[in-house]
Amino acid sequence: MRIRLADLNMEINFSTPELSLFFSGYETAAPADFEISVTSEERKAEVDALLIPISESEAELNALYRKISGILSAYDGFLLHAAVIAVEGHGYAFAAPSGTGKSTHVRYWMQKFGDALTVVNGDKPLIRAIDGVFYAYGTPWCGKENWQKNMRIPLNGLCFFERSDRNFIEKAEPANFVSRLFSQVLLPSDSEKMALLLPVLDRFLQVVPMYRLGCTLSPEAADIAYNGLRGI
Amino acid sequence: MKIKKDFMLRTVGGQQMVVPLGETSKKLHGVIHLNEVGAFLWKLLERDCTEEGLISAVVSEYDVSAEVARTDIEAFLNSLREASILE
Repeated sequence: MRIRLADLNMEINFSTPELSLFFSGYETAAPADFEISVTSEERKAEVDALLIPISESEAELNALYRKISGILSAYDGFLLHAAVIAVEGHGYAFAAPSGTGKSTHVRYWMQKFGDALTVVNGDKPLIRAIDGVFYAYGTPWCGKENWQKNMRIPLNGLCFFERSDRNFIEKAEPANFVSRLFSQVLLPSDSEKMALLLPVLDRFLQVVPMYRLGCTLSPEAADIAYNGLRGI
Repeated sequence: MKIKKDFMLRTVGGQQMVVPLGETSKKLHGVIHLNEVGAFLWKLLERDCTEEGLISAVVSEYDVSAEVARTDIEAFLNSLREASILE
């Protein structure tokens, strides 16, 4: 079937028929920019990479997304492990090791803004630079809460989230966050793709403001974060 | 001495970053952050260089004595060996 992700049309070939439901909301009839399929070895590699058992269809989905993110390096893009929300036309990303409370923090934003807020992708958005602007895109791969919407939003900030005994947000020097950014990006193993990706990450660090966000698990954390991101 | 082919050094965000590639990327997760001298040595080792060659290159490039350079370079080479980065 043909889907549109990150402003690219792709023909997706998969062996598990029930996967077509997974892509609903992303179908397109436009001509494909490229074609994607995964081999049984690539599916097996996804199973081997995880400590917990996953089904054949999950393995196929993981392999497909890895492949798409690799191809994206040729289109100034990559996969960022983060939650992205859209509010008042601005996109904000929150990155953290899993289990830190990122989803809980996003819930405080949802409570604060109600219908004025959209979660673009709760876990694994695609990021792409178009005419110098970095956009975050909704995709069907989005984490267990299933927060996603087929849309894009300019990314106005990336917050590295950490649990703290007080709420604070501070703008970070990009140089201090290079290693942390790398830890949140799905890196290709192929040297050609890596050579394309690294200058994209370099520009990302120059263009998108980085923040250190310390949060208690309380609703005020969203107020502090919002004010800091808007410079209030 | 030479660095294995499975690494790429680039400046990202003003920092000297080394990323693993291919089979190495499956074993070594994460990236290596080098300082200026580390990146200088890394580039020499990408092409192949002896320890004596590294010492004389550092002494001519930076304001440092051969004795100090030797100590620091040996420590740097040891950490590369421990991480199986050298061929």
